[in-house]
Amino acid sequence: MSVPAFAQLSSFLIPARRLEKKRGHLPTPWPALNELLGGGWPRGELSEVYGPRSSGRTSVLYASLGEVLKTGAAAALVDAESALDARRAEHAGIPLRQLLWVCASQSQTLKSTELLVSAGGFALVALDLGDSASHLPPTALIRLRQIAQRQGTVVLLAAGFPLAGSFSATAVHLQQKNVDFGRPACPRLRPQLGVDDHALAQILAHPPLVTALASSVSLERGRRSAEQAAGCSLVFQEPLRERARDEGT
Amino acid sequence: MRVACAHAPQIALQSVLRGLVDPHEHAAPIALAAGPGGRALLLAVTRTARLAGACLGMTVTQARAIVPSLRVMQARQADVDAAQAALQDLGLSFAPRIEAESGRVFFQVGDLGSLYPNEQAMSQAIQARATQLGLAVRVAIASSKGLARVGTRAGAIVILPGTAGAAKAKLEGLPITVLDLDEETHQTLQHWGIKTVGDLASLPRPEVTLRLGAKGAHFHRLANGMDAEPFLPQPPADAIEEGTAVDYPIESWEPLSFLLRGLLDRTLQRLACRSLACAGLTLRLELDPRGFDLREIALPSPTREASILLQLVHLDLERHPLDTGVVGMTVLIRPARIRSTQLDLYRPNGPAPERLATTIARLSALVGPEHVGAPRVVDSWKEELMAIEPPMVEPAPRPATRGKPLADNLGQQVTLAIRRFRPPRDVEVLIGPTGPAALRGKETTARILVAAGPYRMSGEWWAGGGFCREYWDVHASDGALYRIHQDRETSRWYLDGYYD
Repeated sequence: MSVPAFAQLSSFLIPARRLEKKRGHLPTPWPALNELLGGGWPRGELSEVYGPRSSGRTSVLYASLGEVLKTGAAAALVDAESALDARRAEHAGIPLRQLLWVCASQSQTLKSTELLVSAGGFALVALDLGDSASHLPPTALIRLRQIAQRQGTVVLLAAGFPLAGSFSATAVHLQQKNVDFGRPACPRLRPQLGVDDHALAQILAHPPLVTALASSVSLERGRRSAEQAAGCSLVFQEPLRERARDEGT
Repeated sequence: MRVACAHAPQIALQSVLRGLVDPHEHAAPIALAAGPGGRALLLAVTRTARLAGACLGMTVTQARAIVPSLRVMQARQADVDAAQAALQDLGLSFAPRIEAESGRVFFQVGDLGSLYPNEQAMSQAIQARATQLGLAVRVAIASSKGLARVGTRAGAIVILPGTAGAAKAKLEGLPITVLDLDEETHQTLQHWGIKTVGDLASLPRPEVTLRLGAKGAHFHRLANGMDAEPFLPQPPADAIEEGTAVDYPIESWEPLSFLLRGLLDRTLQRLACRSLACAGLTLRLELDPRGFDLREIALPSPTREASILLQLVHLDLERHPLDTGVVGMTVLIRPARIRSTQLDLYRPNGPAPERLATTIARLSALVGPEHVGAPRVVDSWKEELMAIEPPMVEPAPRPATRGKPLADNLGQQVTLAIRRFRPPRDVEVLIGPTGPAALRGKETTARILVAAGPYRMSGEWWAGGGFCREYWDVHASDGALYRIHQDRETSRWYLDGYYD
């Protein structure tokens, strides 16, 4: 092909980057994470957030669901371990009445997700696999990704390990960084160590339990420009405990 | 006014034929008997049986002597009622108001002209819809009910013009029997030498009235293409019922599902005629040798897919299996309307309500209806309790604010989630001098690095299910942050979940 002909042809081509921009992203509640992901979870793609226990992956999942639902879009949660805590989900900004919650066994999760994504109209379908899932069949993942691309739905997987592999457009790895217990922890406050009755009553009224968790995020897969940071930090706060304390004091 | 009449001749026989699952069986010679045994009289025969030599009025033994392969069946009243109800649904699929009588349904079709090019096409559409419902009907369209009824006796599709003169011209060549005369009037007219409708129409009405009374005047008016019988619409039935019976007990799912599928297909076709969907299902299984089993199949949202209903019934039968075989079944479907919704310009497009309802029904069939829905916080002091309620199929109300990130809107951090173990897992806790020191259970075995607590909680003693617990948040050596509690009454420890 001659150079002028190629130049003429290239004028009709659309750069892949522009196509991606047209499809857009679903933002997360954290500006830092949005920046890391290039705007949020990419629409029409399979994304994955993983990390060990208490790394904050479930908090990211619920916050993303809350963020989508509050715009009036539809979202669903496929819960492989029935691990949802309704009170906290409500505090995470999820309007519970609008959330479609499916408690499926491990063998039914992918099929359930596929049904939901195929229905069309869901902005986000979150798949909470917990810790027990160790393997996902590649054929099911390919099919799921194709349906998600067709429907423009974000499929967000949360698991203990990276399960989607190269089938996911974005993979975010979380690691626990710091735990804040708010008040001095047990060893200094036990009555055996000589705390008087009044102090003990106060401690029991305002118990020193977990108040916040900080996690570090690293982007393992996904588009990242050279000037973008490789990671960021997220902080998750315990709202119920804080409110109880405010009421108590 | 234009009135259509759909007439299902020999509806008792048709009700039996509807129940035959295998379409090849329809081609066999079949007769309907008045009762069991060889001396029972034949009430109706199929065309194949008639051509083979069986005819009405014969006993079963006589008919079998002529047609050895004759299959003799008996109609149950429930089957006939279901066929009659299906005929009504046929009318409801074309008009909101219908009037039914035995084997016939009347409905107004004057405003359907914009949907069909002519009344012939309309009649063909009515016949096609009836075929979907398992019925063969004759259709007549006329300016009144009585004329439409006469038309159904005249042929498979009869269109009688609106004016009396034109209708009379169309009827005059037909035999007098199309007027459904009573025996006495028929004999009198035969005695007079009246053979066609035109002959009757040509007689002077005062003379006919004088000799035959009011009945004679009515038949004379019909013969002249005039009728004043009023159209009296009736409300449709609330529920849709279909049933079937088998000669031998069924003890496995496969043949049962085969029969059930036929029943569900028929009921859902009837629902579709009324633009409705199935909101719930009651299945009555007749057991061998006696008794019945009643099952309520709940649906999270209305659906019209037979495979989903079949799967839900299968799940229910797996959970509560039957002890004996099944010799009959009846399906009662509660209809519901699938609401259409208006799209909102200022909100993201959600799933279409009908599509979402179907998806929810499929999910229910896959994971069980009790595992699909919207989570709900339960008004209880036990923090792990929650409930699930039917999902919202319609779009949510428009949000008050457009989406900014939560952190920006509220100026605070995002909520820390907790993953619950349901039910809380039993765990052994080693207590040290400063509180919990180690955990051992199915979920984890680890040393405790930091233990924060206790957070005492008690309540619901007033409701009979009182509890008293001490909660601890523990940072274990496996890196996880667990929530544990000790039941103060039993001193047992439980793992509630972990922060994540």
